[in-house]
Formats: sequence, C-alpha cells, structure tokens
Amino acid sequence: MKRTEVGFLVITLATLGGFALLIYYSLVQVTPPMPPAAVAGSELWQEYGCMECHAILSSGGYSAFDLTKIASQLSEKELREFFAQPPHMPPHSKRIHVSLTEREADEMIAYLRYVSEIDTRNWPPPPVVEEMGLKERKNK
Amino acid sequence: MKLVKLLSKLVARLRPQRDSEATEEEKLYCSQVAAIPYFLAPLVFLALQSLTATFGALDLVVPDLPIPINLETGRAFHLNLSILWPLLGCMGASYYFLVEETKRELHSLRLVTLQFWIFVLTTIGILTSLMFGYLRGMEYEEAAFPFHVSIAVTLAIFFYNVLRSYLKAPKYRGRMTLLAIVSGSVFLLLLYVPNIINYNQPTVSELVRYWVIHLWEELSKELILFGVLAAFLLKVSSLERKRLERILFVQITLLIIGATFATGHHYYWIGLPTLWQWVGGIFSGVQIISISLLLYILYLGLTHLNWIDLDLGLKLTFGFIIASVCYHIMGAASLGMVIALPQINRYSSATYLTSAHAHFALYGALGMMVLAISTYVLTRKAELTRKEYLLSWWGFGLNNLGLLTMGAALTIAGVLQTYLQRVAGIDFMATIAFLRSYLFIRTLGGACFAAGALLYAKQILWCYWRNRHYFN
Repeated sequence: MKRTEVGFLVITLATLGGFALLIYYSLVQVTPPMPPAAVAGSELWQEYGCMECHAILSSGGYSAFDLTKIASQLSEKELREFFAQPPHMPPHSKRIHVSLTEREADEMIAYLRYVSEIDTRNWPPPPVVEEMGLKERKNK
Repeated sequence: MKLVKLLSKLVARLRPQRDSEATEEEKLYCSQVAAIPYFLAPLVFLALQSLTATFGALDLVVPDLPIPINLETGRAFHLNLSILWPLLGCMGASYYFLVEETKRELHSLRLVTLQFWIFVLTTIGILTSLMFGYLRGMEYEEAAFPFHVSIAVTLAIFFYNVLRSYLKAPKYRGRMTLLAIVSGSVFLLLLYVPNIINYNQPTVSELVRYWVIHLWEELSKELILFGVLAAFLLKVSSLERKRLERILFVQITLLIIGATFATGHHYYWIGLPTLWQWVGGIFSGVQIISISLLLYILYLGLTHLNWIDLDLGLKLTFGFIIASVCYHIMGAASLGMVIALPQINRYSSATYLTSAHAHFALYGALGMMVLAISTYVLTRKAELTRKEYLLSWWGFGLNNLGLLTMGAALTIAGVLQTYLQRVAGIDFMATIAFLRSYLFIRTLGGACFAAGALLYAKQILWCYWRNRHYFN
C-alpha cells in the first residue's frame, strides 16, 4: 500500500468510527419501543404518503400542517372527527383529505400520539412573541 | 527581425490548431464509450424532472387546475429524480475519469452496461410506481422495497467494478483523484444499504434517511465529483499534478470529516441527544472550508488554461463548472451554514428556507457539476454547430435564471414564513396564504428552469446523435 492510501484510509476509518460511536450513543437513548397500534399507524402514514404534504420531526412537505405535536394540541375526539369527516384540502376547493376507517383512525392516532411524545428538544418552538410574553409574566 | 516576428506569430496561430487536432485524433477507450449512456440518460431525466416539478408547483398555486400531475405525485417524482439522475451521472463520470487516470480499460465492460440498464429500468419502475401511488413514506426515497434492493445492486456492481479497476493499475494507485472516486463509491453503497429497510420508529427512520439525503449528496457524490473535477482540470489545463493533488488531499480530508459529522445538523429536533447541536453546528463550518478549497482549485484551473484552445464544448463545460462552484459557495455553503446553526435552525427548520437550500445544493452545486462533465464527454467527439452552441448557452442561461428565481422566491418565502409563523405567531394557514405569491414566482422560475433544461438537453443530445458514429 502506498503512503497516501494508508493516510487516507486511516482518516476515513477514524471518521467513520467516531461517527458510528456517536450514532450508537444516540440510538441507545432513543424513545422506548412503539406499541403495535403505533407501528400500524406508521405503516398507514407511509402507505398514504402523508409526508408529501405534512411534516413530522421537521421532514416532509410544507404545504400542510406540521403534525409533530398535533396529538398534544388536539383531543382524540377532534382527531377522530377529522378522519371520519375530512375537510377539503386548501387551497383546493374540490379535493378532499383522505378519510380513515375507525380502525385506521385508532392506529393513526396511536402513531401521532407516539410521535408527539418524542423529546424533540422543544421543537417546533412556540412563537417568539409567546416565549417573550411568558418571560415577562414570570419576571412580574 | 520582421520575418522572425511574422514567423513566431504564424507558429503561435498554428499551435492551438495542432493541439485541437491532436485532441480530435485522441481515441476513447472502449470503457469510456461504454460509459456514454451514463451521460445521456441524466439529460432526459433532468428534462422530465423539471416538467413534473413545474406541474406539481402549479397545482399548489393554481388549485383545481385540470393537469395530469398533482402536487403529491409531482413532488415525489421531483424528489426521487433529483437524487437519482445526478447519481447516474456521477457513476458515468467515475468510470470515464477512472480510465483517464489509470490509462487502462475498466475491469468489466459488461458490468458497466448491465449496471446502466438495471439503474435506468429501476428509475422508470420507481416513477411508474409513484404514478400509481405506491409510496413507502420516506421523503426522497418514496419507492417500494424491491426498487431499493435494485438500486443497492447497481451500487454494489459500481463499487466492485471501480475497486477492481483501481487495483489493476498499481502504477497509478495513491493518486488522490482515484482515491476520491473509489472512496465515493464505497460510501454510496455503505450509506444506502441501511436505507433498503423501512423503519417504523420515526427517529430511527429519520436518522438513517439522512445517510442518503445528507451524506450521499454532501459526501459520496462530492467525493466523486471533486476527484472527477481534478482529473478533468489535469486533462485540459497545464496545472501541475503534484500541486493539485496536495490541495485535493486537504480538501477531501476536510470533506470526509466535515460532511460526516455535519449530518448532525439534521439531528437537532428528531429525538436525539442535544450533543448533536454542537457536533452539527461546528462541523458544518468545517464543510465550508472544504468548499472554499473548491473555489481555489477552480481558480488554479482557470489560470492554467489556454482559453484560445478551448473548443465550444469545453467553453460550455466551464460555464457549468463555474456556475456549480458559485452555487456551492452561495447556496450549499453560505445558506446551508446559516440554517445549520442550531439557534437559527430551531426557527427555520421545515420552512421554505430548507427548500431553497435543497434547490441550490442538489441541482445548483451537484447537478450542474454532473451536467458539466456530461457536456464535456458528449462533445469530445461531436462538434457543436454554431447554432447549437448559441442555443446551448440560451438553455444554460434560462436554466440558471430559473434556478435563481426559484431559489430567491423560496428564500424570501422561507424568511417570511419563519418570521410570521415562528416569531410573530401567525396561524399556519394565514402564513401559507400570504406566501402564495412567492410560490407563484417559484412556479414561474420552475417553468423558466424547465424551458432551459429542455433546450439544453435537446442541443446536446441532438449534437451527440448526429455524431454518434465518432464515438464507436
């Protein structure tokens, strides 16, 4: 092996090794295993291609609501009503949001609840004006 | 004295002609001819991508329009193609310049052709399945499981062929250009394999997905393209190899360290430890140094060129290379760095700012470099006519104008979205309604981009088709 090859290999392996260690350290701390209903819900999420419009954990489309914390913002009843009688999808006046059967709605809600419980380090952030208002109130 | 001056002028005029004759006579290796389809297909896919994306964008700003492709399908098409055709071009460029640098044929020509057809058929399969709504729910990698296995097979063939070809040329082993290409091919495979499987746990799914979305783009493809660019500059300019390889070693070392750990800037808010905010923020800065060295390499290349000698194809090639380096600096590095800082990213993440960065980085920086190499290879034996040459520049201009319009509109939309939604606390739907005019400008930019891409692809493909017999 030539000197450049050895040097290059050492740098590459050291970097990959360091990165692998960080990934391992991160994975052992990941949120506990998903309940079966949430797993089924995640499959529905993938099957219906929800991320083409919605985002979860900061990935996905920007044309509709970010759903990372939706299960903590809306009640189960509200979510169930939404899936049973979905509204049209703005800005489209004719296209209706996909509807789910009762069982599918259960699974999707379980999935969204699981996602909302992930520690995202306070993301999405509350609007700055709200944060400032809270601080001012605390100071008073 | 006058006679001597006259003679020296005559010799100076004759010299470039002799050089260009020598280039024309230079024969392509069989492996380089076998790699030609790798430069043709990306042009077709680019035209298709820009058309479908424009339809998708139009569906968002002019709703209820009876168009064949809606937002969801257009977006899925657009995202998948945006990583697939540059990959195909990178593979072709690797093969072409591996031969150039090792001065011998590739290990297997059959594998080159087999890999190409598997890849193209898989891409067509992916697009067809997306049309029928078969999605797997991973952004950019929406296609169903068998297609991912198929892509992994092509990557394995690519890696095997590149490695065997490298090992068969002991005299040239250790060249940084070759090491960059070989390491790029290893990373492509290594980072893709974990993505074949679907992960239900959203944090794990995101963690692994960025090995393709971030590391493929900013590490594997960059490694290949930096190696290819250096090999190209060594071929067409009088740049000294030793000097260039020394800079390339530093650049690639910084790239490997910087890009790998900068993956962290995608891990801030997905349920992983806070540690990534430090890692991602710091190493995004290291990435910038590596990209600055790209600018320096281009400067060296340009100052060691004899501009009079450049044929029309080479002039176009340099147009794309210069544009690519500008987008590297402007969109990929500068905008990328700003939105990679955790303090800013907390507010700008998942807004149109990310989309602006993706357009500049995926197409502006990487795609344009692939187009540069495609142009170079496809015009080696095929001389562009004056008309084709001018129309190609028009295509290039429209394409860039379109990209800049899209990028600017998305950047403004992103900044406004960040301010309105995340600072002022205005409702999401009200914010989106406010952004519609900017998204409309984005769509106009997209249409301009598509027109440029179509015009350019048509000129180069037609020029190749007219002269295809010279490539055999």
